[in-house]
Amino acid sequence: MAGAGGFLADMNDGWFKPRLLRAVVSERLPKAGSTVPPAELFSILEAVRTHGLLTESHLDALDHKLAEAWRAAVDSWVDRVVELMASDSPYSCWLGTCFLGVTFQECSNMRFLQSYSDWFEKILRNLQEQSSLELVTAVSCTSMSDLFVRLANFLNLKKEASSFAGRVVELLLLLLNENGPVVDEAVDLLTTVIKLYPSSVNRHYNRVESAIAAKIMSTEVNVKSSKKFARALALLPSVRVSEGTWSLMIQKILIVVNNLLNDAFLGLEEETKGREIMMLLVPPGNDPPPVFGDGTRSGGNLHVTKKFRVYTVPTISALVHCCCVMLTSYYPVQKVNVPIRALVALLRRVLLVDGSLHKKLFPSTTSLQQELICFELPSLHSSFLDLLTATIKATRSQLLPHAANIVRLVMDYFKIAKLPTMRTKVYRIVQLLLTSMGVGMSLHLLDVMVSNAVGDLDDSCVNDMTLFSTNPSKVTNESASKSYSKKRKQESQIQNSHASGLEKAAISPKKRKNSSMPNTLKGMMTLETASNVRMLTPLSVKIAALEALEILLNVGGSLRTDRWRAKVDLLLINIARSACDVGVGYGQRTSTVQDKNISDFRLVSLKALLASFLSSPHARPPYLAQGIELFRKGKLEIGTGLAEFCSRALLALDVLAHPRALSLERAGPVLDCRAPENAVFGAGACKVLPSRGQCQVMEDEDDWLVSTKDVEPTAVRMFHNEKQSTLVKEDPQIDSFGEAVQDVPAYNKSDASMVDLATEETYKLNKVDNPSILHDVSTPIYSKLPETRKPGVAPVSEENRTHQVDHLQNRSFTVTEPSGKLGSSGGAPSGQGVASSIHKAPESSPSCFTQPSKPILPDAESEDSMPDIVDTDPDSD
Amino acid sequence: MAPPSQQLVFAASSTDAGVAAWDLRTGAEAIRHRPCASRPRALVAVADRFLAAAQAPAGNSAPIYYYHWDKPQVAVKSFPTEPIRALIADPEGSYLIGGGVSGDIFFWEVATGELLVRWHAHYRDVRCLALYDLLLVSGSEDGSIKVWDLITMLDELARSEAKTPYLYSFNQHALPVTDIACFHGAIAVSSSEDRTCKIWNLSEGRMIRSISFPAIIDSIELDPRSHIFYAGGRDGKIYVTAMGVDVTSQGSGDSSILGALDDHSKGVTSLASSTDGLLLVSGSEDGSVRVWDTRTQQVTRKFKHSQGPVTNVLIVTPKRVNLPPLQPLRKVCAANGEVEPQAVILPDPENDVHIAEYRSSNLLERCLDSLQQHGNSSLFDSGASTLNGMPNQLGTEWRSKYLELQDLFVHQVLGQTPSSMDT
Repeated sequence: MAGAGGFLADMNDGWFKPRLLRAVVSERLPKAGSTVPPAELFSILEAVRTHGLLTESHLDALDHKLAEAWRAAVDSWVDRVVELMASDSPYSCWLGTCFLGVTFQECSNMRFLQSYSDWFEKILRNLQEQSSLELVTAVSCTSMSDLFVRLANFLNLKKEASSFAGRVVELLLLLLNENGPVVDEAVDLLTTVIKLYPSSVNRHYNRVESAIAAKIMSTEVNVKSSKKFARALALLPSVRVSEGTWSLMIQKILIVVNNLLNDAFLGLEEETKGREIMMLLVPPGNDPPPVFGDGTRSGGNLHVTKKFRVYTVPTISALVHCCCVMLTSYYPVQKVNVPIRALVALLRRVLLVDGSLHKKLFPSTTSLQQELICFELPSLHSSFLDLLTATIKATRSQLLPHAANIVRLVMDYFKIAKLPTMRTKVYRIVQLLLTSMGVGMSLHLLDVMVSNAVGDLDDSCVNDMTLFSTNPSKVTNESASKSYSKKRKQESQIQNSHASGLEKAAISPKKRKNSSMPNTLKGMMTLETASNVRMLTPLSVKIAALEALEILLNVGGSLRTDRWRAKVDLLLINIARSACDVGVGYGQRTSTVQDKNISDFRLVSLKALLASFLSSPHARPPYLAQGIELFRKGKLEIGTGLAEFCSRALLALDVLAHPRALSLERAGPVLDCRAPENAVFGAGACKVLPSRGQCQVMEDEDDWLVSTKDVEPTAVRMFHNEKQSTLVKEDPQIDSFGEAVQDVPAYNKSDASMVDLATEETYKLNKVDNPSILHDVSTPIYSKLPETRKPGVAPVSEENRTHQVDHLQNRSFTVTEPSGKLGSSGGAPSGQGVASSIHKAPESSPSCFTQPSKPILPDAESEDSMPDIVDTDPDSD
Repeated sequence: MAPPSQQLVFAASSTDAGVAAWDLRTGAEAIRHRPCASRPRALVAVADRFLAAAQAPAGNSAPIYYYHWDKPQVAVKSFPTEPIRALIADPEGSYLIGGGVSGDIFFWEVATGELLVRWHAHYRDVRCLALYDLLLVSGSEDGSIKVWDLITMLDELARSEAKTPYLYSFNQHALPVTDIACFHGAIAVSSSEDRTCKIWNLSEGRMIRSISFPAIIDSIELDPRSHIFYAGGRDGKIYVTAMGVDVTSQGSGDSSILGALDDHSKGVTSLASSTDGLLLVSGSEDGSVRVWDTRTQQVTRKFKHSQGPVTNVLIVTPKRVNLPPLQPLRKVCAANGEVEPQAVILPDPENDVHIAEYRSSNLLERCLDSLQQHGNSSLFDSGASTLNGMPNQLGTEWRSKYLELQDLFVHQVLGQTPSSMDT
C-alpha cells in the first residue's frame, strides 16, 4: 500500500481517492468570493462523480488510516462547501449550494445521518432570505429536493423528515407567488414533498391547491412551467387518502375547463353543449363542488383578443394536462371513479369544433373572433387528444361502453385533422384503441383507418424519391407545413380536375388557396411540381400512419380481407421498397415539425411490411420474395435498429418460407386454376398498353409486384409435388385452391375500385381487345395513380427491368386464376378443355417434377416470348 | 398465508357440494366454498381476483354467488331476473357476461354491478359463452352459434345502425352447442351434442372444419402451446385432437383425433388446462377430478369432489389483492342518465409518478452551460432568465404550430372568404 504519500499501486488503489479529493479541494475548488471558469467546475463535478470521491466506501474496511484520511478529505470538502454557502457573494453561495446538493447525492450514509439537519437549516436559511438572488433561491430548492430524496431512504427518520417538509411547505407557498426560475424549482420541490411526505402537506391542502390554481390561471407562466404546476396539482389528491379527493379534484377541473370553453366556443357550437356537460359533471340534485382555486379569475383586465391567447387556451391546456396525469398515475387508494361520460362528452365538444360557424350566427361573433379561435384550435385539439389518449390508457377495458362513441369521434376527427401534428396524434390514438380493444375495434376502424392511411401514404409509393431528392431546391425552401397543406389542396384539385375540370376548382372558395393556385395546377403537369406533391406529407404523419397500419394488420389483418388487403399489401411493399431505395440525402432534409428522419421511416415501413406478411390470409403472402430481399439488405446495415429488426423479421418469416404448420383446412374439391387459352392472349394484349409511353414506372412496378403473388404459390406446389409425387393427383392443388378462392374477391375488389381511376385509354383497350371480364380484372392495375403517367418518370431501375420476364409469366396466372375457378366450379378436373388438360399433364406424369418450374407453368411458358418482346417497348421510348 | 404463486384447482358440482379447491402442487384440499350448485360453464374466476358462480335454479331463484378466495362463505349474492346458464368474465375482470335460459345475454359491469345491456340472442337457453378480444361467441341449446361485437352491442346508436345485431350466425350444428373455446388467430372451436366439433374462423365468419367424434362432446379445452385441443366426451374419454389438417395425409376425417385420455368412468363435463399446457384438469360426472400430465398422458392426481357430477373445473392462480367492495349485480338496466356511469380505475402501482431524483448536478451542469455561453456576469446580474434552456425549444414548437396554422387557416379564411372581410 502506498499510504498517504508516494506512488499508488494502480488506479484502484484506495488511497487515490482521498488524495484526489484533497487536491480538488485545495487547488481547484474556488474559495469564497473568487470565481473560476465553468470548465473547471465541470471537471470538478466530473471528478467527484466519476471517482466517487465523496462516497467514503473502501474495500479495505480495516485500514483505519485510509478511512481517517478519506474522512478528513471529505470533511475539508464539506467545510469548503459550507463556507461557500455562507459567503456574501451570490456566485459563491450559489456554487456552494449546488455542490451541497451534489454532496447529498454522493456522500456516505454515515455522513448524511450526522449532518442532514445541519444542512437542512443551512439551505432553509438560503430560502428564507428574501434578499438573496433568484438563482440562489432556485438552486436552494433543488438542493432541498435532493435532501428530501436522500432522506426518504431512511425510514426511521420519516417523522423528522415530515416535520422538515412541513416547514418547507410554508416557505414554498410564499415562493410560489414569485416568477422566473425560482417558481420552476419551487414547484419541483413541492412535487417532491407531496410525493415523499404527503402527510406534511395535508394541513396546507387548500392553500397549496389555490396557490397552484392561481399560478396555472395566471398569464405570466410559460408553457413548460404551467405543465409542472399541472403535474403538482395532479399529485395533490394523493395527499388525502380517500377516493373522494381525486373525484372532487377532477370534477372541479373539468368544470373550470368547461366554463372556459363556453366563452371560447361562443357561436361555433350549439349553445346547450356546455350545459349538457355540466349536467353530467354535476348531476341534478347534487351540490356543485367548491370552485377550483379561490375563484379568482385573472385575465379579466386583458383585451378580449389577447385574453383568449394568453389566458384561456394556456389555462385549458394546463388543466387538461393535469387531468391526463391524474388519469394515468397511481394513487394509494383502492379505486378512483372516473367521470367517463363527462370526459367523453367534453372531448367530443372540443374535438369536433373545426372553426366553422354554427348555423345560428350570434351577433357578437365577429370574423376576428373566429380567426382567433382558429388560431388556437390546434393547440386545444392537441391537448384534448392527449386527454383522449390518457382516458383510453386509464380506463382500459372499462371504456367499452363508450367505445362506439369514441370510434365515432375518431372517425369524425379524421375529417377535421389536417395538420401534421394532429394527424400524427389521431393515428396514435387509433393505435391505442386497436391494441386495447383488439379485433372488435378493428372492425369499426378498418375503413376509416385504411382510407386515411392510404391517403397519407400513397403519394410516396412510387420509386421516384431517389430521382427527385437530388434536386430538392423547391421542396426545401418551403416549410413542411406549408407544403403539406398545399399537397392536400392539390390532391383535391386533382380530383376536381378529373371530375369537372378547372372551373369547379376555381369557384369553390374552400379549395382555393390563393391566387397562385391556377398556376400550381398548371404546374401539376410538369415534373417538379409533381414531385413536390408527392413528397409533401410529412414523415411524422407517414410514420404514424404506418405504425397504425401495422397494428391494424396485427390485430385485424384477416378481417374482411377482400375489401382492403390487396390494396394495403401493395402499398406497403411499395413504400418499403421506395424507403429503402432512398439515399441518405433525403434524410437530411430537416423541417420544423418533423423530428423523425428517413431511417425511422424505413424501419417503420419494414415493420409494417412484416405485419402484412405475417397476417396475410394467403398461404403465401403476395410479395414475400421482395420483402425478404429488403429484409436481407436491411440486415446488412450493421449497428442500426434496422439491422436488428430485419434479422428478427427474417426469423419470423422463416415459418412462412418453409411451412411447418399444419393447415387448418382440408383441401376441397380440386379446382383448375390454370388459364384458358384466350386469357393468355388477353394478358398479352394488355402489355401493349405501356407502349403508349404513359405509365411505365408505375406499371412496371405494379406488374412486377402483383406477379410475385403467384411465383410463391407455385413454389409451394412444387414443393408438395416433389415430396408426394407418388400420391393422389389432387394433392398439389391444395394450396392453389385456397389461393384461388381468396384471390377472387381481391381482384374483384381492385377491379371495382380502380375502374373510376382508369383512364379512357385503358378502357378503350379493354373494349377493343377482349370484352371478357378477365381483362377488366387485369387492366385496371395499370391505371392506378394517374399522376405518375409522365414520360419523365420513366427511368426504370435495372432491377425492375430484369423482373419483367417474371412478371409476364405470372401475369397470366393472376389474370386467369379466377376464371379457372369459375370454369371448374363443378369440381371435376376432367372436363375442363384445353386448359385443364395442360394442367393435368404434369400430374399424370409425376416424373416431370424433377424439372422444377417448367411443368408448373405451362401457359406462362407458351406466352412468354410474345409479351416479352412487346414489353421492351416502353423502355425504348 | 399461501405463497402468491399457489395454483389451485376449483371444481363445482351440479349437486350442492360447494366449490372445492385443491392445491395443484400438494394435492391438499385448500378450501370449500359453500353453498354452490352450478351447471356447466357457470363457474368463473373474475380476473383471478374472486370467484363467481351462477347457481342452478332451486325453487324459483337462481342467484349468482361471489366468493373471495380465502372465505368459505358467499361474499355477495345477486339475483338476476332469470337463471343464468353460462357465465364468463372478461380478462381484466371488468365485466361479467351471463347467458340466460330464455336465450338472453346479460352484460354486467363488475365494479358497479350495473346491467349495462341485455339482449335476446337465441331462441333457447344460452349454453356457453366465449370471448375473443371484444367478440362474444355464444352457443345455444337450439344449436346456433352467434358472434357479437360488444362495441356495437353496448352502444344504442351503433346497434340501431347495424344490419343484424350479431356479426355472424352459424347454424351448422344440428343439436345443442355444449362448449366453445377461442384461440388466437380468431379461431373458435365449438362442441355439440351432434357428436361433432367445429372450427370457425371468426374474422371471416365461416366454418373451417368439422370433426366427428364417436361420442357427444361436452367440453373443449385448447392446449395453449399448439394446434391441439382436448374434447371431453360423454363416454368418459378425453380426445386429443389436432386442430390442423396434415396436408400430406390422405386419410379420412377422423385422422385428426390423435388419441384419447381414458380414465373417467362417466362423461367428462369440463376441462381446464394450465397456462403452460403441461397439465390438464378434467371433471367428470363420476364425481371426481383428475389431473393429467399432457406429455405422458397419465393421471398424476385424483381429487374426489362429491357423489354428484362435477360440472366445472378451473385452474386459478388467485390474486389476493385488496379489492374494493363487490357490488351485487342489478336485475335491470338503469334508465339512461339515471346513474352516472363511472369507470373505476384500480390503481396500478406501476403507474406511480416518478419524481426527478438528485437534480442538483443536472442543474449545475445546465447553469455552467449557460455560464459558458453568456459569461459569468450575465447570469448573475440579470436574474438568470437564460437558465431555463427549454423555452427556446418550446418556442420553436409553438412557432411551427403557428406557421402551420397560418398557412392552413389564415390565408384561407382571411384571403378567400369575402363575407368575413365585409363585416
